[in-house]
Amino acid sequence: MPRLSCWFIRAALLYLAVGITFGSLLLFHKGIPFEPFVWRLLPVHVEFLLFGWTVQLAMGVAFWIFPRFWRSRGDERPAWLAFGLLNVGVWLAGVGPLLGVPPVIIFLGRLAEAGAAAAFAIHAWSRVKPPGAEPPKVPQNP
Amino acid sequence: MALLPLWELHAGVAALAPVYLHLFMWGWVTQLIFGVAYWMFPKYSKDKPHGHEGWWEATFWLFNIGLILRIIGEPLHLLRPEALWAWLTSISAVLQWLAGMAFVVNTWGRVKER
Repeated sequence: MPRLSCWFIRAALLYLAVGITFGSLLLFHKGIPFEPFVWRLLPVHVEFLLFGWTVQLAMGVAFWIFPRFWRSRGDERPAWLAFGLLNVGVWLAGVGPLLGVPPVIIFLGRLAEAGAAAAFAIHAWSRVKPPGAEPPKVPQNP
Repeated sequence: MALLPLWELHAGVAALAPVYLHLFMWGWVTQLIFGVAYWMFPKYSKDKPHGHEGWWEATFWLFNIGLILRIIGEPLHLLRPEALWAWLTSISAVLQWLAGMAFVVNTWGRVKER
């Protein structure tokens, strides 16, 4: 498994652990109420599990197993950028509401998540190919 | 539930919304991910390719028993708040949390560079 996939998947596992902890607190509280504050964890529960866990795991596994160009995975920089943007986005859009940050911060988080999706698509697009296809031409530095 | 905006249905149908969402995202998407990770993630070791098999079995049973208890307990508790349904809902939360944690612990060691 390549290094970037390890980062993606380990981060996804951490989000899963925290996300289901918040979700379990919410469900437990639905049955036996113990602390009304836990309802404030709902947005971060959803954000961590949808983007932090599911989307991040999909990116990590796709980076690992999508077809390669002989041994190369092509230009890895957009995929690394996607990793950074996705995690910044999850924190801004997910934890932001819990901390009562201004709406513009949450918007920036969503923008970062959208940027992560675009960056990952730029990386993965050429790897969705039939066997033996040529790698895309990357402009060389003079 | 797709009929809810069109007709006034029994309150029990609306009470199924969280169950529907979690049957899909947890019972299907997440469980499928767990199963595929068990199958194709790098081997934990030569002797224990999947990690600790007992933990995997525990994950499966805790996950599904927890989910079934939730399917029963949560909507019934919303419609008829009684101690039995309240406990069923809360116990289901604990079981599903244990399943998730067992998965995370058991999978962590299999996420490694070649």
